Amino acid sequence: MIDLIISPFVEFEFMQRALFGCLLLSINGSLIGVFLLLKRMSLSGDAIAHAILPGAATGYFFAGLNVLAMTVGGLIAGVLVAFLSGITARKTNTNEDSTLASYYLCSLALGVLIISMKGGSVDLLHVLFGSILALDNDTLFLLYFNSALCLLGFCCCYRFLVMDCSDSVFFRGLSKYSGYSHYLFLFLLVFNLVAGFHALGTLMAVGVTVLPAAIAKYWSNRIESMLLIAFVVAVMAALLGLLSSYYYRLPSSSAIVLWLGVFFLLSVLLGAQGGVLRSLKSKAKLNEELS
Amino acid sequence: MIKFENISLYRSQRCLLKHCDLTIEQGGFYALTGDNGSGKSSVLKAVLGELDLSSGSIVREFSHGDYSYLPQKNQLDTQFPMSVEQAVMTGLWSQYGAISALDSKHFARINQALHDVGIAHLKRVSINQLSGGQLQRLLFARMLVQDASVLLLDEPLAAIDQKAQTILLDILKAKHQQGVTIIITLHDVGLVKRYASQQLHISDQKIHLCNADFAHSDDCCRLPMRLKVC
Repeated sequence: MIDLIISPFVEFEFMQRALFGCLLLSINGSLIGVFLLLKRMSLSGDAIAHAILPGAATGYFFAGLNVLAMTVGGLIAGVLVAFLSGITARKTNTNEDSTLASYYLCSLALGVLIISMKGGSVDLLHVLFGSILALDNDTLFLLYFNSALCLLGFCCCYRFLVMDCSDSVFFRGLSKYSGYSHYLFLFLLVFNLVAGFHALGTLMAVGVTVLPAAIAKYWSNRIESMLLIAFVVAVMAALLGLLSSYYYRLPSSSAIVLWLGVFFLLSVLLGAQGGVLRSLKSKAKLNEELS
Repeated sequence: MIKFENISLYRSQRCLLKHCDLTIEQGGFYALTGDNGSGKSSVLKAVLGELDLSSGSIVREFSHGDYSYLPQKNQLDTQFPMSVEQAVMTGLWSQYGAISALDSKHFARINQALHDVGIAHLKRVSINQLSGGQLQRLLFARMLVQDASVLLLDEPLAAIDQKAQTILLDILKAKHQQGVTIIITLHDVGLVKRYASQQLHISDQKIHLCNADFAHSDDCCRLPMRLKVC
């Protein structure tokens, strides 16, 4: 059994690279995902993941499958959509979710248009679903850099983010720099999604960010333990996803996200914090006490 | 000291204050009264600098971080995964900031504040398990650990029982005796008379300053001994 788990990673370098890439993504994904969840922005993360597509596609249009060009393009597009939706919402007194939805849909359509102008459906699939089993040195370096940046950002701004998420109005009264933490967080989110899309594709990159945090919420009501649980779950899903992909010839990124989906459903059922069975058990106990 | 110089304030194209002058002295205990929609919350937000004035200016002799504000609508996300102690800890931000560690003195202050507001036994409880009244006490405790020189409270007694009201107002009274400036919006005239030293009553787009001993909910301006400021 242990041999079945270990041997693919010992025998094949591409599996080692894939596992290492997933490990790096799990570090960032768990950190960013938990704060996305706490800011109630999980769907915004999804929208921004789609919004980076035209930038990445423009990079691809001019330089082919070049990591740097696609990363810079994706970053510009993601930051632009996040910034435009924020500023439009504030200037027109509209909710940010509707402006973000509008911009990201236009952005996604533009991205698909650019890709279809240049390449065939195989290239589109690469951008949408990534290539975790074919991580080259450039992509691994990008993932390294992304993890280092993300960890540094969170080390410096962890308390800022906690304050901003828990009570932004109160925090505004305490610090004149309170607003910057939100923008730094958005930048880290965009950068993480851009790095993630090289490995897992735009559609799946957000899955490893949002799902581990959603799972962790069912198991803990303390932020520190939520971060740890999200990381462990993300690593487990990456390991199981890569092994499923190896043994059953499944698309890797989909397999990883589907394993996260399985963990999520189990958490909904069994979770210690608001899980269905737990709630039923508490209700039954209460009824017993009353009768 | 906070000085209103000929200020006018509009919200949603409705005039709340028109050409008002007012001086709020350091160390005063001011009860802000007025009908619903008269502009009490807007005045507090204007003092904080969160609202743009249509005319005039407000001179504040306190800097960012010297004041503590308790808004009418609680903005603390009660689903946020933190304990009561951690929530109160956020009030110490100006002392420990982004990186410094908290020491035993900080924890002693947190414990004292929780004890003062009567929720020391809930220290380790998650904030999502608190009732409305307990949550309000938590917000009071968070405000106390800040050690601010100006306290602005917008209807802080709305969700709490009479016993808790007395406890919290007694705490404010003690703060006032230590020289802290307090501006609190209240509806209960009895509480205004008992605790405040001055009443700021908003009516007819004006703020009227009067001695709290003669406070009245609607007729402050008609009282013979009031001091009409604007």
